[in-house]
This record gives sequence, C-alpha cells and structure tokens, in this order.
Amino acid sequence: MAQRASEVAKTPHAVRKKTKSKIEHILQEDSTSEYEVSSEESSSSDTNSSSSIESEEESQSKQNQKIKISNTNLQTPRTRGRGKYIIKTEEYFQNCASSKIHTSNNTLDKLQTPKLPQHEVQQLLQNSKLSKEHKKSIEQLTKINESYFKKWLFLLNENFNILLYGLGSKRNIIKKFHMEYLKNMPVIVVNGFFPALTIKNILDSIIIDLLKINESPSNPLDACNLIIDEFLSMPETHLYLLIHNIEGDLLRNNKSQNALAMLASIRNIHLLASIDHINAPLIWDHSRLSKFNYIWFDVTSFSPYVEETSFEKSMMIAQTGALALSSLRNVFLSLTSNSKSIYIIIIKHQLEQGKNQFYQGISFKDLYMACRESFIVSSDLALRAQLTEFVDHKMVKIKRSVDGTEYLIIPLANNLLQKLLYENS
Amino acid sequence: MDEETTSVSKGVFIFNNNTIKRSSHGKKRKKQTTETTKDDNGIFASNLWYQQYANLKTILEENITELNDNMFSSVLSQLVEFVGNCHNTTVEEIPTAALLTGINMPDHGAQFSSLINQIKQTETPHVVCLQSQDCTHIKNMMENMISKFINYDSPLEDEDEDDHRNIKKNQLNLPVLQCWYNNLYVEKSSSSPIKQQTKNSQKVLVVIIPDFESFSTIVLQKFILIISSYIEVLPFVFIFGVATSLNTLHTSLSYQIMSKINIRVFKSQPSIVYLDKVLENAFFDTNFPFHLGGKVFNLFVDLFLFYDLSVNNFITNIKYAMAEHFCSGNTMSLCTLSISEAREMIEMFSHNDFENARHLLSFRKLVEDQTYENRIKLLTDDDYLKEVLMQHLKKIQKYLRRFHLFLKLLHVLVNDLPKAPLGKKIRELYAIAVSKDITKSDEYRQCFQLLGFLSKTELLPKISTIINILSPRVKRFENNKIADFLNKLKQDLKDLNDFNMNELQDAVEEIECEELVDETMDSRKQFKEKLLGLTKQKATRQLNKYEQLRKDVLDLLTNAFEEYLVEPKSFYFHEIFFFDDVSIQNNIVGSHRSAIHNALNDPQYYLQCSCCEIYTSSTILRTMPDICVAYKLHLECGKMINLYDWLQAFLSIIDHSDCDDESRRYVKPELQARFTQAVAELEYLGFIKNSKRKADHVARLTWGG
Repeated sequence: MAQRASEVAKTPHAVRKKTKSKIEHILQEDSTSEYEVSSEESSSSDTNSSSSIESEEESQSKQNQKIKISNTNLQTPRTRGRGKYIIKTEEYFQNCASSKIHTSNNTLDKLQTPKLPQHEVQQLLQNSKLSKEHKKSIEQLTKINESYFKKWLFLLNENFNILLYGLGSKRNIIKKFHMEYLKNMPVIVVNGFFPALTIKNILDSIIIDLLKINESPSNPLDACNLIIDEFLSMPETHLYLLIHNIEGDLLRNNKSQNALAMLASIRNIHLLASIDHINAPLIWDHSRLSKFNYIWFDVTSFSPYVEETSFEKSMMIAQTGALALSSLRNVFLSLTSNSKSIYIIIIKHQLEQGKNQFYQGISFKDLYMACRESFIVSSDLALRAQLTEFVDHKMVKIKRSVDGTEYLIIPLANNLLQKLLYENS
Repeated sequence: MDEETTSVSKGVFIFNNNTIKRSSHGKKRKKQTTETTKDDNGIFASNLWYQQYANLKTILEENITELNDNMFSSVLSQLVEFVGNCHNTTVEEIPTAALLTGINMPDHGAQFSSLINQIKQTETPHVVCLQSQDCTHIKNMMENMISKFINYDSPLEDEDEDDHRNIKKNQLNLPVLQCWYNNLYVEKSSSSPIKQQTKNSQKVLVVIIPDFESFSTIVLQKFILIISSYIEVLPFVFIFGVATSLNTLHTSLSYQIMSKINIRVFKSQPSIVYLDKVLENAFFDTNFPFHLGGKVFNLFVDLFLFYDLSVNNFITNIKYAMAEHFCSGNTMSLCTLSISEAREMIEMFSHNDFENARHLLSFRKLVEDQTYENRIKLLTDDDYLKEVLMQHLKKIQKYLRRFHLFLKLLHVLVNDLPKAPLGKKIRELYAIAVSKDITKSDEYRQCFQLLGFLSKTELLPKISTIINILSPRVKRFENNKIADFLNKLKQDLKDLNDFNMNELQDAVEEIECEELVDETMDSRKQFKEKLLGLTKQKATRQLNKYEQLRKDVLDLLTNAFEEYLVEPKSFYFHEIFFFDDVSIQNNIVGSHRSAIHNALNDPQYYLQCSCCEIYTSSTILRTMPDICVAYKLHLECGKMINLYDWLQAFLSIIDHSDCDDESRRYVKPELQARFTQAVAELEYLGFIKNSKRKADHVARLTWGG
C-alpha cells in the first residue's frame, strides 16, 4: 500500500487529476445505479385498487341460457380496468445509460449440480404441486377460457380467425377445443415450436395426406394456390388449422407467414393459432393482418410450457444430447453386424483421440487397414459402400483435407459415443 | 390425446376423419357458382339470432359491393381513358401510369379489381396483375406475366384448343408472347375481313403492379428494360400502384430505366372519403337496423384514423361487432326495422328467449319504472312481456327512422359553419348523437348561435336542401307531424324568399350613416363610445323582420331536433339495436404484451387469489408462481444477468430455511428444477437470451418493468 502511495506521488499532476475524475465518475455511476433501483421501487404506482369479481353473478346467471352460444361477459373481470401496460420511455434510457455491466463472476459450477438434464427437470416438476388456492383459481381461469369455445366456433365459421394470447401454455385449451368441437372435422394440428418444422411440412400434409393429391409442388406458393383452388371447389368442406405458436422459430419468416395468411383468408379454411413470444405480433404487417383477420382472445392460463420448452434449448439445462443419442441408437440397431463393427472402429478411434483438440477424424486408409485386420471388409469398394450408408444417415461426416486424404468424423459429443459404445459392448 | 400431438420427430398432425372428399374436376365448375353463404353454417343456422345476423350481413355486403363499383369511378375513368389512348400515336417509351394509392394496403385489392374489370370491359381483355410474391426473380415475373396473358384468352376460344396451356412454364418467353399476339391480331385482321372491329385497334397489353414498393428493384429494372425493347411490336402499358409517394419511383429506378418509361401520375381519393361514403350509404342507411353505439363507433373510427386507414378493416370490425351483438341471444333477432318481421320472430320465442330479454340492462330500468303489479307481470308473464316488447320495439323503430333523417338535416345545417363545432362529417354527428343528447350539448348550442347570424343567402339554400331531403320521405311517414313540419318549413321558406332584403338594409344603412356622419367627432375616444352605444342599442332593439323570420325557422328546426334526436339510451330495449360493448377492443387489437406483463407482474390480476395480493408492483411474494418470481427478479438486473446469482435470489425468496453461504452450494433438486423451468419459459417468451459474453450469463431483451 505504501509502495503504491509513493507511486502515486510520483505520477504527474495531470495523470493524477485524470484518475481522480475517473474514480469520481465511477462512484457517481454506482450511486446512480443504486438510485435507479430505489426509484423503481418508489415509482411503482399503486395499481392495486380494490377489485372484485363483480360480474361473477352476472355470468352465473347467464350460464343457464339455452341459446347455443352465450355471449357471456366473462372477460370483464380480467381484461378491463386496472393494470394497463404503459411503456415508460425513461426506463429505456436508464437501462442504456451505463455501458458497463456490473455482475458478479459467480458461475453455476459453484453448485453441486450445475445443470440438470431435461428429463430430470420434468420428473422433478411433476412432483411439485401448486398451492391449493392457486390450483383453484387456475381451474377457474381455465373454466372461463373454455366458456369461449362456442363463440370461437361461431367466429371461425364467420370467416374470422382466432388468435390466442396470454401467459401460460395454450396447448391444453386448443386441444380441448379440438376434442370437444372439432372431433368429426378435418383438422391439422401444427406444433409451431417444433424445432424442425417448415411451412412445406404443413402444405405437404394438407396436399398429400388430406387432399390425397400425389405430388405436391415444390414451391410453397404454388402449393398454396393448389390448396386454395381445391378448397374453393368444395365450399362445403371445412378445414380447421390449429397452430400452436404460429410465431415459432421456423414459421416466423416471411414466406411461411405469407403462405399461412393466404390459407387463412380462404373461406373454408379456419385458423386457430396461439402466440407466446412477447414480440410475436411484429411478424404481421397490415396486409398480412387483414388477410389473417384475427379476433384476439386473452386466455392467460399460467400453465407451464412443458412441451414447448422440452427441446433442450435452455441454458439452464444440461445438453445431454438424449435426442441425438436415441436417434443414433435406432439407426445403429438396424445395421448389419459388419457395419456395426466398422462404426465401432470409428467410434473407438475418435474416443482415443478425444483429448486432441485438432482431431480431424480417422483417415480412410487407416480405417480400411483396421477393417481388413479384423476381417470385416475385403475390398476398398465394400468399405465405401458401407460408408455411404453412414453418410446418408448423417452418422459420419467425410472431410477432405488439404493433401487430399479423406477423414471420417462422427458429429456427436464424445460422452454420447462412450455411452453408445458402453451399451453395445 | 396427448400422445397424438406430441412427438420429437414431427410437428404436423393430421386428423382427417375421412370427411374430405375431393370433388372431381367436372363438378368443380358447377359448385363454384352455387351460393355458399346460406347452408354454410349448419351449426348455428337453427338459431333465430343467427338467421337475422346472416340476413343483415348479406345486406351489408351487398351494399358495399355495390358501392365499391361506383366508388373509385373518377380516378378509374381517367386511368381507363389513359390506357385507351396511350398507344394511339407511336410511342418509344412505355406508357406508364403511377397511381398513388395511399398506405391503406388492404383496401387496394378492391380498387385494383374494379380497375381491372373496367379496363376489361371497355378497353382490352389483356390485363395482367402481378403480385410481388410471384415475382421474386425476373424469370418468374416473365413467366407469370406471359402465362397470364396467354391463358386468359384460351377459355374464350374452343375448349379443345388446349395447346396454349400445354406450353411449359420454362418455355414461356417474349417471342412466344409476340407470336400469340400476332396470331390474335395481325394475322387475323389481315386474313378475315369479318373481324373488322379488331382491325384498327390492336388491343394493348396492360400490366398492373399493385404494390410497387414490395417488388425488388433489380427485378423491376430488368423487367422494364426487356419490355422496352419489345415496345414497338407489343403495345405494353404499365400501371404501378404506389403506396407511399412518387419519390420511391425516382429512387428505385435509375435514370437509364426512367428514360424507358413515360410516367403519368394519378392520385386516388384519400381513404377517408371512401370511408365516409361507405358509412353514409351502407351503414347510416335508414333500412339497416344494426347500430353501433358511440363508444364502439369512436373506437372504430380511431382505429381507422390512427392505425391503418383501411376501410376494409373498418368493415370487418363492424362485422365482428355484429357477430358479437347477435350471439348474445335470440332477443337480438328482433333487431329489424319491420314490425311484421319482429312480430313473426317474437311469436317463435321460447320461454328462455324471454328470459334472455329480461337480462338486458334496460329491462331493469323498465321494471323499476313500473307499478308493483306490472313488475311481477313483467318478470313472470311471457305473454305480457311480449306485448310490452312489441310496443317498445315499435317506438324504437319509429325513432330510428326519424333519427337518421333528422341527423341528415342537422348535418345540412351545421356542416359548413365556421369551425364546425359539431363536426363536418355526418359520422361525427352520429358519434355524438348516439352517445348523448345532442341537442343538449354545448356544441349544438354554439351551432345554433352561429346559425342565428346567417344571412339570407346562406340560410335559404340550407332550408331548401332540407325540404328536398324531407319531401320524398313524407309519403312514407303516415304521421302527420312530419308533414306538418314540412309544410311549416315550406311556408317559412316562401316567406323568406318573398322578403326583400334591400329594403331592410337600406333602412339600416340610413340610420347608421345619419348618426355617424351627423356629429363631428372630437376624438377617437368619443367615436368609440358612440360605436359602443350603437351596439348596445342594437342588442336591445326589436328584431327586424328578417331576423324574426330567421328566428322562427330556427326555432321550428330546433324543436324538431329536440324531439327526434334524443339519446338512444333513453329507450327501453335499446340494446337490441345498439351495440356499445367497448370491451371488444381487446378482441380486435389484442393487447398481447400487456396481458403477459400483467400476468407476470401481478398474478393476482388473473388468479384472483388472496395469497398474492401486492400493493407495489415490485413486491415479490413466495406464493407467486415461479415464473413471476423469476421475472420480477430479472427486472432488478441490468442488461446482463448472472444465472448463479439469479438462482440464489430465487432461492432466498422461495425457500427461507437455509441462508448461510455453504448450504447454497447444495440446491434442492426440486427447487433447481423449478428455477430451470422458469428460466426456460422466460427465454421462450423472449425476455432473455443466451449470452456468450460471460460464462453463465443471460442477456435481458427488454427494459423497464
């Protein structure tokens, strides 16, 4: 400390002044950031006015109407009145003012179990229970949401499309609607959150599976036009398109949304979709919105997004690669014993070299030699035939290095390979 | 069920139920022509309210389609004329019309389709409309255009002649088009003298690009270049629909391209004019029983003016309001302007339908205003209620007819007053008149004050227009009151006409001149006092003859307005005709973000539980759902969030038991799982995302609370 003090004494005046101002600046910043927090606490206005379920009675009495669709005013206690979302612009500047990010250096590795694998999370969550009161109120919410069903059916038939929003998974309510009212109708259910979904899947399944047309045009637009023509020609048939998360990762591009908008604007194709992402409405411009012709419904349910988050994308979840492993296992089991042995040779080689950061793969020549030694293949050509099968199933990648030798590598993590090897030995 | 739509290998699931049977192509044509709207909705068709709803909807749609054809006429006729004339002289540049359409994209469809129809009827059958989605490359664009040109023509000729259609798409190019065109016009006109009429006029080829902005500029530039090299043999005409401003045309096309086209600019009407016409002709029609209440009407107008300017959407909104209105029960089937129809409907009512009527809000008022015996009768006796209902329906029906008529009259009177206190458009008047007693409003009083200053030349045309509007209606109204009113008005008009203004004015001038000139002024101050004195004198002075007449007319009018333009709410059962549930706003423009925000910040808002009541929005309670706790904690962070710290904060709220530092290392797996799920859900909702800038950190994607 003394040493440093002497150092400071030695530094020229200008530098000292600079540092001083810097320190002051930092201190100021700290204090402002503290101030931010406190202001946030104090500025939060009292939004909590006394609320009562006033129209509860009304809705109860309306329930016993015999009309087929009752326009129950059930949404009044929730969507109106207090707690309107107002964007506070000054918070943006507060948030962006300090470019420095002050967070601690703690990492999850400090925990005994840094990350849990997906299946374990799901198992653990099954055990956890909601409090009694919440269970009751969620049931109540669900009941309210389900009271819209008849109205939905009516609106869908009136050529409107329905968009569901609000916190909580909307899979169950859509599913229930499907089961209760659309059981005998042609229905297509699309999981928009599915990570490998394309608009082509949807169009193809309509064309091939539903309309029984053997070939589907490769261009989505042509496919759309084909579907539109078909449906215009049979106005008495109604198709219900239920899309969970219409803003899903692979559906949010322009092409898909255009195609869906085209379909949704057809008189006898009815769309019921849900959105979850907070910025989801941004994917539609005016012309698309007018084609979609949505009627929006708030169906907040607080139910957990179990299915939607089950694809191992979250950072708190250990990437077990269970999906990849199970698919690899399936393919592996269908191989002949010879090909299995070849594959195991590749695995073993890769595992031996596991520590090597720049592992390129096993060269074709080495593999051939190894295979010959264990009497698996007799010729270069036979091995190549086997490898083609691997490549087709994406079990192996072939890379050609600069000098022209081919390297084979398995595009999977080593621990998974270890597991597979363990299972098969 | 769950297994059916949950899979790790596919995302689309089909439930065919064997109900889709494709009709063969032979049937196709027939079926397309059959009316579908009626039988379409078997599910609800048995309900009375639905029948009435469907009925009104078709009326509205018919009205609007009829309107659409006349709507754009002025611009369209200019355009059509342009298309017809542009190739009369030899041209070197491609004649191009730039139609400034305005930003209300959804409406353009109607506009362009009526343009296409008109061109086809009057000028040329060869009209092609190219959509930007079909023209991502110059190749697609060409193929599309040519196939549309060629294929449009073939159905007109013999059906066996399918060879046009058999040309593969990739074989379509401009030489093909040229051949086809020559086949059609050049050769035929020379070989067959019968077709005289086509000889002189080689029909032009019209290419319409309705959304210029959404085309790729490179494709367009190439397209124009290629077409311009064929302009001598193929008479092309372009019509560009430009939604923003003419500038886009200049910026997106280079000089080289611009020199190939010869642009003429057309401006279409602003969509607000379109809206006013639609409202006046289709919706404020005295024959249309469904009415929007003031709040909903204002909501729709606001949506139009500040959101999309689209008339189409406005109409859809009205349709949705109608759907909402009618699906609240069979009582709504009484929403009709003919007594006999209402009678027919009410005869079919069941007990439940009457119960439905008893749930109307104004019914309560009705009951409260009655004597005790009548109250019981109203509540229990359906037949009695039926008669009462009919009585009140008659009243409202009568009221509605007069309401629209007198609203129009009021509009004539006040629309051109200075500053237009009641608004210039009839829709503004309507919005006021259905939400309150218009005659008691300040604006109305102001208007009549202003009317009190009108000169004879200003007042006379107004009165005569009113009489013109009124006189054809008088026959329809049996009531003598209106006829009386009209006669009185006519008498007044006659008096006003007969009255000679000059006399009066001369007299006034004389007086003033005498007085002013007579006394020689000493000072400015004196003059001022003199003038002041004069004005006071005037105020107290007896009204002259013209003023008296004017006052009489205005009194007559205002009395009539006070009688007929009353608030609809003053009628019992007004709910049958007026829809004023403004909560449909949330269904038309979803409040997605706000719903999520409310649910996360204040879960009690939705759950209505006693355990999560909070008084400030930053309070965090352990009873809240996990995702709310995680969300509220994340609000306290800046741009980056440390997962470890977040987890610890989460634990300290959920689990009070262990707070010493060591035990934090071991986290109960159940709690960790809950946190993991909450984080995954927040990520799924788009509040946070993975960050690579620091280990185990996530980035916040929102700001503020």
